[in-house]
Amino acid sequence: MTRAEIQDAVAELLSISLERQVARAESVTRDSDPKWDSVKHVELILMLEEHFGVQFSEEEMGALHSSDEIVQAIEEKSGT
Amino acid sequence: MLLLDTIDDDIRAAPSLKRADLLRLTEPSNLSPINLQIHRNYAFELVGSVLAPFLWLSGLKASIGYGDYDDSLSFAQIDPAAIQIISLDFERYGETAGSATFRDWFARRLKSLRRMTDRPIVVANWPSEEHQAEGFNLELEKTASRLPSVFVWDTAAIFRNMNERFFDERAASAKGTRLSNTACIEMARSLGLVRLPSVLLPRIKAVALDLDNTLYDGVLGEDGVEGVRVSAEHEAVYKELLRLRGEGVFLAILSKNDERDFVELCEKRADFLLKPPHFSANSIGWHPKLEGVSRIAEQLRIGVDSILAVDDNVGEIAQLRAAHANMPLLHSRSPAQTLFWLRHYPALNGYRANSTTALRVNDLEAARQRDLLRASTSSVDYVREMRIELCYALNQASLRGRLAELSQKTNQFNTGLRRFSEVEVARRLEAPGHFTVSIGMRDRFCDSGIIGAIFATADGNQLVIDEISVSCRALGRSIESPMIALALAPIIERYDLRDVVFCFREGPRNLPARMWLRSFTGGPDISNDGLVNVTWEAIPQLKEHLEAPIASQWEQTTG
Repeated sequence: MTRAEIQDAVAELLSISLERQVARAESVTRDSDPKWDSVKHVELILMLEEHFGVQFSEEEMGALHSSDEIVQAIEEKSGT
Repeated sequence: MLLLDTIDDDIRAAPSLKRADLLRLTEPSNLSPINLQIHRNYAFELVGSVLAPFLWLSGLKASIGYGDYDDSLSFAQIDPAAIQIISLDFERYGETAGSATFRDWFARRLKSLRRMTDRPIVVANWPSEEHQAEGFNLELEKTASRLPSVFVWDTAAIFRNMNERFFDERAASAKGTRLSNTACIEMARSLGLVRLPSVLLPRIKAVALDLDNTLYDGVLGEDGVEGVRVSAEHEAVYKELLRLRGEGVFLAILSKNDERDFVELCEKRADFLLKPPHFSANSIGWHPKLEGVSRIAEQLRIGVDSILAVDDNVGEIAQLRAAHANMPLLHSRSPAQTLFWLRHYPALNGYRANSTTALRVNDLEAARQRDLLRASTSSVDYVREMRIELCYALNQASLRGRLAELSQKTNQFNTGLRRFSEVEVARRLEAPGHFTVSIGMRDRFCDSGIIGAIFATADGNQLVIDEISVSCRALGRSIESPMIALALAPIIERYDLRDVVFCFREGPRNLPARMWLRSFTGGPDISNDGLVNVTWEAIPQLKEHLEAPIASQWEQTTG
């Protein structure tokens, strides 16, 4: 899976979670979007795990604060 | 209203559901709002966030209120207008949860919540394989059955299906729950497709089935009786249909076929487990299915909107939908998918059985026999020949659910249209000066079960009849007046009452009740406030009613 494919998928899952269109190039952070609360964060993590077939530890969940960090974490986990 | 979008059915019926797939679905318009209040000690939000796509199928949109995590179930933030849902992580209570003390405490909390609101309470049982959970769940079933409008949500059954996939301890504290993502979604599916619709909606009364490529693979007219193929999955569908029939849901065939071929199929194919007597009505022929479904509705004496039509032909489904927007429909694409929806279709499963439920199927055939008898005898002989037996009970708490059902569902013979909830009925059953009479009926043809309810109150020397509701299955036997007079007479006599005041509220379909009231009371006008006031002794033909050739007995008289 290429970085661009991961970015596309993350943007689409963020769009579902935050209930607004998130573009691939957009860098979204938890601080910048008030809708990205703790429940939405867990829900997003669950959707990422479903989609990419990866698992996040408790520490990793807490450390993901932005779309860029998520993309990077998926890249590392999926070995791309 | 059932809203049915077969396009998205595959997502909702998928063996392995995905959160993102559900959240991508588009919300339909014209949904009815409902309020849910969640009492929990874990992050139920992960269940609640995927509940909506399942509830949409029932035309419902939930607004969900979450209180704080509360192991103590203090119900401090209750919204009494909301449907209450209790879902707990019982492991948080440790060893205590297996004790009798905990079970008693939980029952007391449930009773306490029952006192705070009249709305339905849905309580999740303990999803675990531990022996102590089994004991708790058994006790919970008993407690819930004793309380009005309290329904157990069987999350233990979901646990049994999923086993080790139900919990995901990984990152439990970050997620706020030990439930796995899949378990959260399965719980939402169970709550949204089955549990909540069965609490909030009237049950589908019949399933009308196509034959070719629906109940077997192949075309009967072309492949022949021996040529159509019945798989193990088809057999599972048959068994599911027979289970529904056992619960009082009518089965019918709605097929463009030659009826003789169908009969031959039933006779010659042992693996086709469905046989003609299982079907209470059929429309098998070459006429349009729109016409067929109306015929079936007429034969079953129910509305088209109470019939779930199952058909593999999307064109037939579209025609039925165009003509009957609220008719439940299932586009059958495989036996596995049909089986899933027979188990999960909103308003088809999850209903509490009562003593009358399973009798409905037999009552239909009896109604046909009664019609034949009526055509061949005079009216007095007809009543005598039917050998009717009425069984009355006063303030019988065990019949609470059925009494509420009669009040809420009868349309034609309902004088007051008060639509008492189960909680209100329970309150009336215990209130001094209130009389709630159940009427059971059997005749030479069948036992119809509890078919009538009278809700009355003593006021001075008057008996105020707040509502009389009689099931349409009991109508047409010309015994309404004796049946009601025999119910009221002992109360009038015992409490030395003089007058009877009938409360009447006009509705769209209760003309039969109005006509009966005029006939029974001798025709005094209904006053502006909807009351008909008569002196008991002055009721016309009272003696004849009380001496009608009908056997009657009182099961229990209390209060």
